Amino acid sequence: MIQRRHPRRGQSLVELLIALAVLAILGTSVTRLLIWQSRFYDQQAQGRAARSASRSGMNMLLSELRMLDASGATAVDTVGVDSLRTGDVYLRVPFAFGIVCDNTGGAQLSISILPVDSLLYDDAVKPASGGFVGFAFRDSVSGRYHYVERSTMPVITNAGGTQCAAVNIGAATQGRYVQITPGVPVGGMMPGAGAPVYLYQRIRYRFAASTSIPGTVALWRTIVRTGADEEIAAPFDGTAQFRWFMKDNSAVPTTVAPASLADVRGLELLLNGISARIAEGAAAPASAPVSTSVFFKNRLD
Amino acid sequence: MEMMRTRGARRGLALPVVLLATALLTVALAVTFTMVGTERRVTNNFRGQLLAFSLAQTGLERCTTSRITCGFATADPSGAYDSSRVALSNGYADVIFEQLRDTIAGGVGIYAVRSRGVLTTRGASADPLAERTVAQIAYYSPRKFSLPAGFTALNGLSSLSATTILIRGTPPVSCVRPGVNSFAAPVSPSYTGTSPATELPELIRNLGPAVTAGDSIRIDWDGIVNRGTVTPDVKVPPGTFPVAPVWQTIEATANLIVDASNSGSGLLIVHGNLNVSGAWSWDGLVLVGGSITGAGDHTVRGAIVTGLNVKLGMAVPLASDLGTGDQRITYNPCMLDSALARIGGFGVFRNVWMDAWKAY
Repeated sequence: MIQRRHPRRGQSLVELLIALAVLAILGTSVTRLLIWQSRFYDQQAQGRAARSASRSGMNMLLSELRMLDASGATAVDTVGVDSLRTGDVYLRVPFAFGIVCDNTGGAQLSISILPVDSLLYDDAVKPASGGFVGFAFRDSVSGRYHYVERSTMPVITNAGGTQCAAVNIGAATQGRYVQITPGVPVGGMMPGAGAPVYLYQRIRYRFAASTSIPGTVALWRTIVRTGADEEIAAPFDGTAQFRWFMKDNSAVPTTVAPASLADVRGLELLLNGISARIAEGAAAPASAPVSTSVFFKNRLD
Repeated sequence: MEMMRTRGARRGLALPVVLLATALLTVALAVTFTMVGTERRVTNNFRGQLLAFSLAQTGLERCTTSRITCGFATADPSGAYDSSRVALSNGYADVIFEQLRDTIAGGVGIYAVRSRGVLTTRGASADPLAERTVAQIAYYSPRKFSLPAGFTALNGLSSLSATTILIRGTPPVSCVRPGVNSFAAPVSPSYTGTSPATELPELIRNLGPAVTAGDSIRIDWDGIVNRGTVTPDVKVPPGTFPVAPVWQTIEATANLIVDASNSGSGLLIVHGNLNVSGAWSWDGLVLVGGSITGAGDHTVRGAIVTGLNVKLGMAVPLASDLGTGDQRITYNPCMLDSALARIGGFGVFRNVWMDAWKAY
């Protein structure tokens, strides 16, 4: 049986040219689409990174700032060592609250401490690295806090249960009794049994040059007693800064360092996050301007 | 010549190109959706945290303002541990009052109030639940009125028409507490009456001149009348006097007329005069700016103070006269405690708020 092979027809030059043209058009379109998608993705990723920088900075700040006493802001330095810095703030940040039981002749202050995160507490009172520098007790007459702070970390021990029992003060569930040595010096304002008290660290927040992402600004948190520095959020642009809400003028924050720190009632945080690099096809790093206001909760007015 | 044409299968490029483009677009879309989804999740986490904080703070403020409307059984903290769940939009708050110090010897009780806000509403993308705990130190100071007697009449008292009158400053045996004088009044007007007044004559306390007698009564009458320092359950008017009230605080802003149907218990505050008719009885404290008049058998277990408007600088009202009938007023500090419990001084130390409560 003879099989006839039908000759296959080849493609003409015209067909080939048309096919090439069609392929070129399609290829260009697809390539453009890919590039556009890639840039879009990159820009979105950088934008997300910028927003993430803003958010991560806020979480820690918000929690610490809310617990501040109205006179918690103690020093402001507007003269920066970094050209990028626009200001920083020293804060007395409470890390444990309690009730005074006894102030044995100024030698020891016995306190019933309310439950607090053990890691936070232990870190703060650790002699070598902790930031615990003093305590503030509430004056029952004026309602204001009086600060007792020394250059060296007070000694804090798990004792004081007897002193608290003597004045009928108990411990909350998961709370504890502690004794701080020395206590409140005799002669000045003294805390009575039942006076609220809090232990605090001195913390410095500042915007300064980032070491992890050179050329940008980072939010730094420093434990003043030890000088331990931590870059907690980056990168921000050069406009990241603190603004101040003053007593009786809370509508508009001021960028000028207040004359009286006792009048500070809150902070506005301008956390203008930027992306770590410039997205492909973009002229500048993606930015996510975020501002939030935090008012100190522990204030009388 | 006939040309035989055989059409062979031509392999086009359209299908692969379309498939390739579709695949690329699908990948791009998937990446975009993933990215947007992640972004949304991060945003929602942040939002959830803020909402939980808001729930916790709302619960704290609501329950420290009014425990009753917050679901607690009593207006004042009771016992060492007291809790309530407050239903809120998008979640709830568990509010716990924990006693750190009892009210010792009339002192101030101290409580740690914590509120755990729990976000229970999930968003369209099954947002995670969130929790947050805030706390505040609160105090409770039971309201104490320093009363010199079971019946204190800054405007004097007449019992000329009473069938019998019994005013006792000694609490009943069931209430083991120190007693006070039976009756206290200024030098003039004081007590006038011919009817037998058991225990009365020998236990009258002299409060001095009428214009200054009010100073010996440590009741912030100006605050009650003009500044609303006591929040009543019923204010008359616009409210009407309830029938048989039980441990309520009732404030009449003018003169008040009551009868037997208005017998009950609690704190009765009358800015003007109180007219009592029929067999009226009251357990608790009766504070009257003017005088008490009426007729019928009257029984009060607690204490009465009349003529308090003197403390506002007003003229001394006419002397109280309970009218005909048997008048029995027995000082009972236990009844007073019950009457005043609902207006105890409970509040929070405004600048003792914490966001670091151990919540696990």
